[in-house]
Amino acid sequence: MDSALVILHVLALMLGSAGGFAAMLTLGHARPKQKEKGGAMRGVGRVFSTMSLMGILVLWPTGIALVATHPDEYPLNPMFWMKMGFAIVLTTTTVSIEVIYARAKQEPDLARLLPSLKPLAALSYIVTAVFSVLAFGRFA
Amino acid sequence: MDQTILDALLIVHFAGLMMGAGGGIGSTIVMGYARSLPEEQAIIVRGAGPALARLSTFGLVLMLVTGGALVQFRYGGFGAMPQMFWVKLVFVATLTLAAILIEVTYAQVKKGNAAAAANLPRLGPVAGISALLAVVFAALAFH
Repeated sequence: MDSALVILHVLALMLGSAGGFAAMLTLGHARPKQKEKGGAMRGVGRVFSTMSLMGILVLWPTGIALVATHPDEYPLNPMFWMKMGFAIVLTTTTVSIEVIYARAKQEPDLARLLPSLKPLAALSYIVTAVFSVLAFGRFA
Repeated sequence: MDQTILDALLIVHFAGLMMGAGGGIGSTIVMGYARSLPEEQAIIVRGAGPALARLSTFGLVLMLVTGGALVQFRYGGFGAMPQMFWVKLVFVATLTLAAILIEVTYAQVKKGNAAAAANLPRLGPVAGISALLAVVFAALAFH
């Protein structure tokens, strides 16, 4: 059970960060006009953003379950709360990206936020993992 | 060894995992998605493939270097590692092989051998499944 939770948590990290990093890289690869006006790259960007959201939706419950069932191994120290802060930034950013894609047709101006939000999401994954290691001496 | 250095190694190891997963899964999805598009759009989308593969290889190199250092300095060498760690290493080896073959394939495509791209739909899943199993056995080895 414990191993299953850890495995699910790390696999969710892989899925979520894969979506985050791939979205950032494809955004960088897209031509400047495509970033704002859409095009072929926007379709694959939506796939990556959904992947990232799926990863986060699994990271939260498995992370809470790990902390709740093993308080001695996962102490709620200051580094843990730093990690939580960045996990919230990551979640908010990822949900915002998903909302922007959902409203892209009705409100095309919102897409201008994507070049800022996608790197923020990828960076948040890294910083959250950094504070995980500093809080627990491991990722999960 | 100083705990700060061990933490730094572990952080870079996980950053490598995230980059590796991002590049590997991303590359597979981009190639699959491109097949559903008209050719003029597919060319644009496929163009992101080599950059994603490079990100994956970079992440893998980070993981191999920091993983070796962690085994040596945190766990006292390869002789002290549990059985599950060796199973993990088998999948790390297949992942590394797949990543090298993907890089070689992209290099061939760049040189004009478009037919070589037919290998990518096979290599992508091999890399993905290897990475998945390497993570599963890493969790079983270290928890």
